[in-house]
Amino acid sequence: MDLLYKNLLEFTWQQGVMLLIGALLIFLAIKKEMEPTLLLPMGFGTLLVNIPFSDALTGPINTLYNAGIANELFPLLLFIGIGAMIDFGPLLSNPKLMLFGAAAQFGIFFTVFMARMFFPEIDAACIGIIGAADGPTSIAVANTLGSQYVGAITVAAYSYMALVPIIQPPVIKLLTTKKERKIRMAYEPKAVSKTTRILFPCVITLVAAAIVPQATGLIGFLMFGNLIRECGVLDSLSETAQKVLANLITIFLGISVAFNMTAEKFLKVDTLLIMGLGLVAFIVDTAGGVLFAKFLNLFTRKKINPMIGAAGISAFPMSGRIVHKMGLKEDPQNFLLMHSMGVNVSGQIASVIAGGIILNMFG
Amino acid sequence: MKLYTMMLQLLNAAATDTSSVAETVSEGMGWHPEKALETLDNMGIGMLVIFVIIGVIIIATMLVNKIFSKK
Repeated sequence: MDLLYKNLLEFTWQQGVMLLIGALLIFLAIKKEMEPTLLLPMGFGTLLVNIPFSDALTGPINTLYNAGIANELFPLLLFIGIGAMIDFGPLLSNPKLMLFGAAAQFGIFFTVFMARMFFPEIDAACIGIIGAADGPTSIAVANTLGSQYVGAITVAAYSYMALVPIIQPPVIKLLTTKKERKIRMAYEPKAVSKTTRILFPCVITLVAAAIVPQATGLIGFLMFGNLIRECGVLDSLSETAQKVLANLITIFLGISVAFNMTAEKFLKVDTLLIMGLGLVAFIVDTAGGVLFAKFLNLFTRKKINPMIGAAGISAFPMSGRIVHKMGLKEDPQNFLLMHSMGVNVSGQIASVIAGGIILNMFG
Repeated sequence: MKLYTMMLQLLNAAATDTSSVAETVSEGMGWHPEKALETLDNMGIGMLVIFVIIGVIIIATMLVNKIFSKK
């Protein structure tokens, strides 16, 4: 008879809290539709690993974790799918937009600086990478550097990516005037040849990897996915990468990240601090992009709407759409979409390069 | 610092035994503002390297655009 309640007596209050956190992640994924592709598997995985003597933790989740997270395989495979989804057309017709993608990575390094006040160097670097606003990059960097906070970093990165529509607008409004938000930017698309579209992923990979070899895996797999899309002779592979591969890896990634969501690893004062620093990273990213655009406006004759700088964070395509909507709100005739999406995809590239730089500096 | 102490005290109140408080704060964590100054270099170099790489990519892309542009 004691078989019925023996395990129940082993429950700790910390595991109870983690079960609530798992339930919260599932609620946010389903009811609020916040990044459901990741938050739902993570939430359910959290439930699985916080049951006393759970064989999910020592069994399948442990196996998946070692198979794809501990060796950074899953994030890299996911990057193939992400690369296949991205259309670099708006960026290729105006490559200078990439500067905003670079500026919007300031939050990463600022957060490393802030986190260093509280955490050891490696963990501070991994917390800073939350500012990349890119789940696979955050997981890959945190695992490679051996941070003890992979779970908290992953939850922070994906949660704040889903909260971008709430985080960015107030920051943008605070740093810009109404007049600046109304600046119109004409879209004059230049024709981009197919050869350019094919060479672009190759060029990026070679340039980034030559300077920061630690970024080769991250940038290489992202650009490989894009090359599959743009080459024109691998339509079925492109479709598979965008849909089947991306969805499959997302399922495995989401549930295996839960390996780090046990009460002992997650329920610490550190976790709250990491969540706070993650928010700082996103805010400073947004501010970095906007302020850089305002700085450029001091020297350019054709004014740039500073809001597009905020789209330089890697939360694609949400950030680009937010900036476009804010532009329409100020002026219904102001169509910023192509500019903001161009900046947004450049943020994807810049965030991966930033990940490589972090690995280079602290690895 | 006060916030950090308050949070520790809250956890202390919630814990059923004092040893769980020690477990809530990881090894190596603390208040070290002087350590942050050491990362200022990294901050500057990191941003410089990103801009350099992006700058090279922009130039290369513009060159490729020019050479292979649709006539």
